[in-house]
Amino acid sequence: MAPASSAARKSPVFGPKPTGSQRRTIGAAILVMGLTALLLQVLLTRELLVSFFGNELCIGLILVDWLLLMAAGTALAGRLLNRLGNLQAALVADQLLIAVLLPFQIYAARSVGGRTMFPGELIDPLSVLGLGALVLAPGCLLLGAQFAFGCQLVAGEDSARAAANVGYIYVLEAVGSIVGGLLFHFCLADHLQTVRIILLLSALNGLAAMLVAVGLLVRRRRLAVICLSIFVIMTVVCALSPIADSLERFTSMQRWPGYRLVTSRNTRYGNVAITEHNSQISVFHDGLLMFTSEDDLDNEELANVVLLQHPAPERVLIMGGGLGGLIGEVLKHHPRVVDYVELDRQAIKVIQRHLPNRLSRPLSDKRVSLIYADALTFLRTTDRQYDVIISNVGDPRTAVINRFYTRQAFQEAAGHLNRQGIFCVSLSYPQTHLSGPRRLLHASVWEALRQTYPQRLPLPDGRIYYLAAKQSNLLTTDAHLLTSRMVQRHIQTKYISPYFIHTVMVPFARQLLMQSLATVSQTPPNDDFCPVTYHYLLRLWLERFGGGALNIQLSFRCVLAVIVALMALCGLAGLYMWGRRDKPIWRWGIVGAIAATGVVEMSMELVVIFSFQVIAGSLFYQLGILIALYMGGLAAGGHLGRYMTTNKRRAAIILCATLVGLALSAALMPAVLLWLSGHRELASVVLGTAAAILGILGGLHFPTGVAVFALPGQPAQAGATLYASDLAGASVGALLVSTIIIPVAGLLQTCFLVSLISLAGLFLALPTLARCKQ
Amino acid sequence: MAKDELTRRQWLKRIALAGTGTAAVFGAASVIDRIGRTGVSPVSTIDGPEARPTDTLLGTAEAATTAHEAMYYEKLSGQRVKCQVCPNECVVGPGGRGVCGNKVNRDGRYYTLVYGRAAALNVDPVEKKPLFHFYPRSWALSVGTAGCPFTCKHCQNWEISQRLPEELERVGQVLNLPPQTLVSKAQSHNIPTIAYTYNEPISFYGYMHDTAKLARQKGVRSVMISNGYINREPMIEVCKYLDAVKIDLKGFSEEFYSQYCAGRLEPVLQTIKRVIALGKWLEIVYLVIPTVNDDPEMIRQAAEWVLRAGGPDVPLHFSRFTPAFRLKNLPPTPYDTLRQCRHIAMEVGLNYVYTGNMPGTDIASTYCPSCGEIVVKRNGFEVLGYHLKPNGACKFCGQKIAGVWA
Ligand code: SF4
Ligand SMILES: [Zn+2]
Repeated sequence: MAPASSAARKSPVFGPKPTGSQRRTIGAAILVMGLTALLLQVLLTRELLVSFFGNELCIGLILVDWLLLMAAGTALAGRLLNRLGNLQAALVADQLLIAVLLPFQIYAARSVGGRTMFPGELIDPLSVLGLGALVLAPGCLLLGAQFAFGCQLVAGEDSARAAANVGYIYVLEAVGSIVGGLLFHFCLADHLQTVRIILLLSALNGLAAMLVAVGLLVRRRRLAVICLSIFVIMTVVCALSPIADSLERFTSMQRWPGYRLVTSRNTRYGNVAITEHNSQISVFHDGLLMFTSEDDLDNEELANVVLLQHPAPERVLIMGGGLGGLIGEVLKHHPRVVDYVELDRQAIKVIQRHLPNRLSRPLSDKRVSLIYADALTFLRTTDRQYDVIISNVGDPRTAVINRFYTRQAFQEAAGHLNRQGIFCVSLSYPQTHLSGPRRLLHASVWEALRQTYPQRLPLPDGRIYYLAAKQSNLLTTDAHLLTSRMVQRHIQTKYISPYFIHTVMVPFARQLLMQSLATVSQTPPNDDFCPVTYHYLLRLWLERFGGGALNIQLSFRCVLAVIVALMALCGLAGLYMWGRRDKPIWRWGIVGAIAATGVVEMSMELVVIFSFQVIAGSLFYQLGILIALYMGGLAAGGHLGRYMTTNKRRAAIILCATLVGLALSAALMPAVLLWLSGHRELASVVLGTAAAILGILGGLHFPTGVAVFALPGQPAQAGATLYASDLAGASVGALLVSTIIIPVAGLLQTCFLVSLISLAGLFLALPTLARCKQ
Repeated sequence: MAKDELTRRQWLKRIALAGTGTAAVFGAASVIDRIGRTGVSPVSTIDGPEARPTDTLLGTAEAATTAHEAMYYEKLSGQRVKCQVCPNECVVGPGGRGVCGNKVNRDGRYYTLVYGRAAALNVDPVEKKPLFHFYPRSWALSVGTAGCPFTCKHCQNWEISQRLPEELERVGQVLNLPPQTLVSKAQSHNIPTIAYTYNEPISFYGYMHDTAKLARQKGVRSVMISNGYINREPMIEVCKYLDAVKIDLKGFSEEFYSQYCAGRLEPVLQTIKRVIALGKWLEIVYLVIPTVNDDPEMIRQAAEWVLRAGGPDVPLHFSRFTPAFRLKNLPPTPYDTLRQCRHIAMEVGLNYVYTGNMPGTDIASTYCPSCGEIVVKRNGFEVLGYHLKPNGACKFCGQKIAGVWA
């Protein structure tokens, strides 16, 4: 690198002010950065979850990694700004590095699961955090650094405009991520595989580097352009040729050592991988085993346990999990109609192609209709009635799956049952005992069933099958009656026999189970707005790694106490800073306030997304739009904020007002959500508006914060520091809210808690107001 | 205030129910036994609006009785103790615990915390243990506690085996079943066998020992379902009171044992030889984990070793792995792998090789080694046909089939 002249070290790069075209070039680079960041985050998170484990905690940990590393990149680069002589060259180098490293990051994300650990072994949370950080570090640090470089390059010397210029970078980054998000949701997710997207992204970054080289570089411009063009051409060729497919395959194979990978495909909802080993086909969704071609026992058991309860099951609804043979088993009971609902059309198509004939045949039976929809949305919109509804979506390891185990979901199902109808939901269980978080988990589901159905019957065997009926005296444990139905229907099975039915109907295990559940009868029911069940499953997951010591019973009151204590601390800190407002300590108040905003923004974004899924369903495009609306709000707010930066006092007022606004909107949110649960059809509009408002408030805080925070001549450093603290706050919010606060406190009370956090941020920001008066 | 009241009410409820609880558990067991023998359907208990939570068996969880002194340990200097039950031979300082987590050193004496404290209890067919040559179609009262000397990554019962007793006690999950209660309940409800199983009976050695000893006096059989990780003396001692032993051969290399179980293979092999030498009925289970311990060469070596150690009549079960504990991201064992394993072991010369947890009568039935007819026909753990004379001889050719048949 060229030695920096002492002049360059002191003064901003373009002298007093970058020219219009220079600004546009940097702007374009930052747009690309925003887009790259979003796509890379979406893609790498997905890959890492497949490699690790797709529960809410892992999602949270990876998000934490991502945000903290971005923050670190920005903060580190912010510190280097004065030492780097040739910032333009640094930016070009940074972009080129990103472009080169992107494909390797995908490779790393895919090999981290299978090759680095014992095959098939779950990875503990600390390793998830550590390995995730290793994989994400190159991209995040470099992208974060770009933000700081961009700020410095556009800042200019005119300190009055500096904050506004830094705000410009913030806005463009947001716009870039909107473009990236929309691209992903509406185009890439359905049509291109990961490696191809990444190669195109590499090329795009190469192009952006070229643009910056042409527009800004003074020396070695030609060399840079030649090298970059070669790089861009090469990656484009790779991306558009079958090379991309080979790379896709090669990298995917890393996950399944010892198995033949039949296919691996990313659909909009996740990854489907099919492996083959000793003529057994295994299907994985997001790295988790969905089913194998040899699950006869489970399918026979589920089908018979449920359908024998009904004297004549004519209309059957299966929500999820039907491909491994369940439908074939259900058909043996001679129903007239079997509706099978699955969310992921692409995944089902891929799986169907590779299923052995024996398993794919029932799917083309004329009695069976495949319905591609979110099963709960389907139930809400259909007027079909059923004799039997089987919910078979797998254990509730995420908030999204948790929706199928709530009181509301059970009620929805009950609404579609005939008078004699039977509902079945099952949870895994270690066959002999129910202890620790697993018992609370079962109790929360049991309680939700209890509040919905007058008659329930738990049948513990390979799993616990919870049967429920709308009338009492429908369900039976009379093994004779059940086996006589089995004989009447001429059911041929490989495994399940009258003897088997007898052993399942033995009351012993059932009574022990009831006893066990009764010891935790105060457990709240799993509820859409208070989704406790997935939290218990998370704790169970943690216990596998010796997290038993962490097994403290958290309650809303504990969380509240912690947050109130935090508020009090912030209040005290605010008072202290107020008293010393002529000392530089007040600047920490701003950092804290911005971090609090980060927490609040991320938490509320999660609340909006969770609520949307609970109220409207897991709807891919709408979720994409929701996130775009939020980012759009952020960009608009950021842009608006730029006009309020010339006057420090005004900026400080706006900053405080933003926090008040956030506190108010968080406090209002519960009312909105409650109202919406009665007006589901308006969910998109209302929550979209809420997302946009949150975005605007979030956008406003950044440029105003920079304006207040910046020391003369150092707006870029200010931008870097505040951006980093914003991200750090967001990472804390992401982890705590999704894994603990929402499940323990519930969606509504979470809003209330978040509102308190905004107030804590306000306490930290107020001293600034006092200072700016002077 | 309110909180106090709540706990007090719960406490009262417990006392009131403590008496009825244990009885109710075994009321159920008697019903099971009836089905076991006659196929009569049980009286049902379904939860409905009429069923109050108090109708259940809450209350069997009484406060832990005073800790029971452990068997087989040596006192060392400085109030330390050395446990001699299993080859871990933990040396434990005052206040400390052994590897299995359920024994504690209190002032230089070693106590077990799980004596009479059942964390898991069930009644199921003896074929499920699996014991195929031991009183077919009979039922076993199966009991387990907290703790295990191993930490297998694929443990099916990790929620008790890898937990401390107090973690289970705290939530009221543990049943108070001292040896007398356990034996008398098995007796009064005609359950012929008690199985010490689930976590690892070696870790509740004293409880198993005393129960088996008492059971023997009362005419109830005892079977130990174990990983075989136990020292010579305690094994010889408990074998006096056992009727059959099932031992896991979890893999056939020291590497596997150390990587996946945190244990050693050699002591397990010693135990197997010892059980054979003592003339106890023994069946061996090899859990086949795909791509981990399913190498045909390893399977062959294991089968050859079994043949050398115990002759061709020791039953060997290849059972199917299902994802559990930390090994969650592997698929279950392919049927073909299990068939291959069975084929290899038969080729080696073992007479009774089975595969568990998969459908099919061919791979779960007992064939007469002399005439080749099916003498006990099974599908899974269900016995479909039985062609043995009361003395265990083949009805077709008279060949004696190894086992304890009646
Ligand atoms: S039985 Fe438990 S305490 Fe005794 S040596 Fe084995 S692991 Fe250690
Ligand atoms: Zn014969």
